[in-house]
Amino acid sequence: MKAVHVRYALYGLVFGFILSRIGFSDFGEVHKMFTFADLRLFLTFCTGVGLSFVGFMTLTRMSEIPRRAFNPGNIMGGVLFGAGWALTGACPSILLVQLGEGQLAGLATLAGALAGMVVYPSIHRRFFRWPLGSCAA
Amino acid sequence: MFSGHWPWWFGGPVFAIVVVAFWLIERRLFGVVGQYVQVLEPAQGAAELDKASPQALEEALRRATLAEFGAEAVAEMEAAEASEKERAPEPRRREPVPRAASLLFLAMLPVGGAIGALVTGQLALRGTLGAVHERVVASGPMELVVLAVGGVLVGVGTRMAGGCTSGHGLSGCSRLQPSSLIATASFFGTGIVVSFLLHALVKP
Repeated sequence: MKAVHVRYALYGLVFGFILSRIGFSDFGEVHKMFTFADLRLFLTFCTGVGLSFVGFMTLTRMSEIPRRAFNPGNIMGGVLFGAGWALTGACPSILLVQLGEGQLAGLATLAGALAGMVVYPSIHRRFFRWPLGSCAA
Repeated sequence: MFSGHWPWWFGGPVFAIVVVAFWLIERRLFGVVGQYVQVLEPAQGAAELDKASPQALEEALRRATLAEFGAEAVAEMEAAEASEKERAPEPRRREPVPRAASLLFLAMLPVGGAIGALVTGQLALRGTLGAVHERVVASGPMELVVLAVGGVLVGVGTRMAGGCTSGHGLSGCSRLQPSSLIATASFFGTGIVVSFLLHALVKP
């Protein structure tokens, strides 16, 4: 157990708590966001992006942060993920946050998502040429 | 006000603190799909190479050169290397995040969720995603089928897009990275379209 393990465990704990308290793990809230019935989650997200931009601009040099090239997967994958998100209310972190809150139906989502993530790289290598990157990996 | 969900003017800044603090501390961009990749696909190709120490690689190269071209070539190579090192110090090699750290990150997400739900009194074992999901998407056994299919879309989609709501959405968009802006627009856009379709298809 090194310091990095403790730090990552804390990030997970804090991020899971935050997502739950904001309500991103509540399907009803996500559906209200997507149908514009309640803009709270949209505003939360956009405020987060806006203030992160300000934070990056003031606290870091943008040039030191690695940039990633665009590839067609950004659009195609985004479309598939968006459809899945609308159906399940889950993005990769929410999958697990829902389970922690006791929403056991999320086990079905988690099983599907893990299967998708495990199988996709071989599909990718067979059909696509661009590099298969991922954030933070 | 804080007994229910956090208002946007509180949740938004909290998101920003997580994203920027993670970068400042780890010198990596915050992204959840990356943690899954670390856990699910360890030690493939490049990762294997990463594990071998640079010294071991250098030693192997030296031995191979000696075998192939003789001692003179090795001396030549060493001289060239020494002068090169003087001119430009090697950039610091980035250690990959330990697989166990990524696993701990993922394992603690539900714990954080449980504490969050405990605080609001929402912590309870439930077999559905709630009344809205049952009404708008599917109920009974069909709900689980739809969730599993939707889960595959989430898994394949985020992996294909190279990131999700955190990596592309928060970390990428806040740096105005074109690939992230495009990915985020496509998953939010599709989410909106599919949700309106679901809404329209609900039997009155």
